[in-house]
Amino acid sequence: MKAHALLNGEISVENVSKSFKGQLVLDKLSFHVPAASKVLLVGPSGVGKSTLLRIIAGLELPDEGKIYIGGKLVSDSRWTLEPHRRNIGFVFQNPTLWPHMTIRENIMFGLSSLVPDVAVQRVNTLLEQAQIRHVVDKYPDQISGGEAKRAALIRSIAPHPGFLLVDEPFANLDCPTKDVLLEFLLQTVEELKMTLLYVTHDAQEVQRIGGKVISLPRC
Amino acid sequence: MVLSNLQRYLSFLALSVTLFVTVVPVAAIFSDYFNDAMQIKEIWALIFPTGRRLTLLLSSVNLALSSAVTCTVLSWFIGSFLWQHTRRYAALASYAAALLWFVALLPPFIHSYTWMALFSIVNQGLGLCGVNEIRFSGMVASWWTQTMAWMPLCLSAALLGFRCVDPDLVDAAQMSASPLKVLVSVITPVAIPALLSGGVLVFLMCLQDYSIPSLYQVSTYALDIFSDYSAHYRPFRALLMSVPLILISVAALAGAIPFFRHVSTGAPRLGRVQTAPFLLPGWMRILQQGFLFLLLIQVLMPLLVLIKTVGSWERLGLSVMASVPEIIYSAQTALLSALLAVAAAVVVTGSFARIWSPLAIPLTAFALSVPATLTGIGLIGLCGNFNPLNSDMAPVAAVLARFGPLALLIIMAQVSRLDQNLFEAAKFYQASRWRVWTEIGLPLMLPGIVVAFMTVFLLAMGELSATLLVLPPGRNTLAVKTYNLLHYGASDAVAGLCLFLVLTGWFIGTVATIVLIKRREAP
Repeated sequence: MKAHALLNGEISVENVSKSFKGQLVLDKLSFHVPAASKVLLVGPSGVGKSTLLRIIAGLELPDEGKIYIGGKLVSDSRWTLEPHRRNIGFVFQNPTLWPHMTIRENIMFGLSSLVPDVAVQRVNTLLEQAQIRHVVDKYPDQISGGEAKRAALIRSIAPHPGFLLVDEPFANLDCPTKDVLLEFLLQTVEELKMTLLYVTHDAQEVQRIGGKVISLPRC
Repeated sequence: MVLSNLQRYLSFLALSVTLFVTVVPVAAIFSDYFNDAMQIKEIWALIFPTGRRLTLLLSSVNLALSSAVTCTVLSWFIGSFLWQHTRRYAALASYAAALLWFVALLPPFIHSYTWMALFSIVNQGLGLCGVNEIRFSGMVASWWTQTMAWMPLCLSAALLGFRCVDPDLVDAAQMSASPLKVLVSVITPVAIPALLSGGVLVFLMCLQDYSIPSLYQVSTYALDIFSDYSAHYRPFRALLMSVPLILISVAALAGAIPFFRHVSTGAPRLGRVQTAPFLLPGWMRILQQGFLFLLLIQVLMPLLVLIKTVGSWERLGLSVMASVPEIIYSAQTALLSALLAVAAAVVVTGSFARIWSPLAIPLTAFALSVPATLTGIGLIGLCGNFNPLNSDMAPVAAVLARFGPLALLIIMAQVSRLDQNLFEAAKFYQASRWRVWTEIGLPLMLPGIVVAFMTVFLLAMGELSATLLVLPPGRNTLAVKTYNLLHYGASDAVAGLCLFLVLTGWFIGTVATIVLIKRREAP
């Protein structure tokens, strides 16, 4: 597969099972996410929501089943397309900013395929929109938790991925900050016509985001 | 509050002892200035070497730097390979660490013996085929042997560094970059403090230790200090001669510090096992596996050469029986040194971590910068004036002077990574500071205590240059005895002793690995 053949379109999960240390977490799960749609994954803790996102992202292999992106097989139990070739952005629960890089360097990391001027312009615009332009040259340990979450969100969307996987990133934020970030996220998803897969516990977030809701059962 | 005062006194005592054994021996040499009527011109000539001494200094730095760089590069390749596979097979690093235990107890210069023995066997074979023999001596042999001898130390540091990388950071990077870029741009910078610490430590050990080069007839600056002192018995002259080595060592340590800024100091992550492969390019995998193979040779070669040389269990038994006093004395010295170093470090850290932590780095830098020979010379002078040291305690003091602050640094570094909220929370449930410290503080500090203890113990088992000068009459450590035996060419007796050390190290390592894996697998 060529490195720059970007995947776009829909995500299909077919009969995916996964267990850890003999404990079944996902059991023959199947669903379909249409292109440019919003899908919310809900369910109690421990039902494998994060594991499912990680399998779709290519960070874990399923024990059984297949994942298709844009009609192309990207994972089965023996083979997986590398995460960076999937055209996916991933917003983790924790900011996971690289501590040895400034915020600018963190965001620029995924933009190496762009002309430097374009990349810098894009970073600056996104930082303005998220109201954290002032942290651009700071290191992650020099900024607040809310700023780190915003920076991590920008890092995920800066490469303009076709798919955005979001794993409860705003769980510990205060309501006003959460509202601002969610608004920013939804606006960007809308503008770039991304396919959004969003994991949450929060009923208000489910209502706010809209879209199809998939409730994962406990195995 | 009585207990608090007790802690305060203990802490002060521990710090005083650490400062005493580390700084006072060298400071005491200054007093010799008044006995040694030295011209200013001579002083300058000793501090700023020229001619033969300058050449010797440069070649020593070159040798130490070559070994340190090679060690660091090899450790990066092997460490990244083990990290990469430990993500999928969690116990792999433990098994790899167990391999290192084979050579852990061997004094570094024993590797000269095993490599020389190997080349002797190879040359016998070449001779039979009518091919010219390979000459294994001089600088190249010293560089290779030093690299191989210190690689386990450097690799242990690298493994620790790679284990400190938060897997979430790697996952985030994998979303937008190839595994090679992730390894170079994210994993390596986060692991660099440990990797670099290992490299700098190897550089200092190689720069200040003359045992390996001297066995290949390579003269070094450290050996020159020892020879000069043996010829003139002028401590202040030795101190002045040591100044260039001290300055270079301090520069190496200071140069490494900026790398530590803005880099995660997280605790080792034993986290989740990941099933998705982290596939590096083919050329990288070939290099990693090639260097891992080299490590296996390095670990297994001493064992095979020693088994071949010893020949039978009977001869092994005879060698060991002939050195029982040295084995016991070495073990006693190493054990006592490690216990004292760790106890002092725990007391100082536990009570006054915040106050004393700024002192830990300069103190360790000082201890590691002073050539071992100079520490020994300082202790000789000190033993004459301070009777308690003029005993079996002298080698213990030598080890404490060289490696005691290292224990302090390791434990302080570990404590600084602990979440202070854990201690704050304990104070809500328990009024007794003693119980908070023993039931919460000590167990949390345990990994650092174990690492510090093992580091000092293993370095003490191989310490030669300082111990050689301060051994009480009638006493001998294993390191000193084997070094002397090697110089006299009594290699059969050395082989038996070394095989005993390899088997002992392997036994301890295997038990430790099994305990570690069982503990990790416990529900």
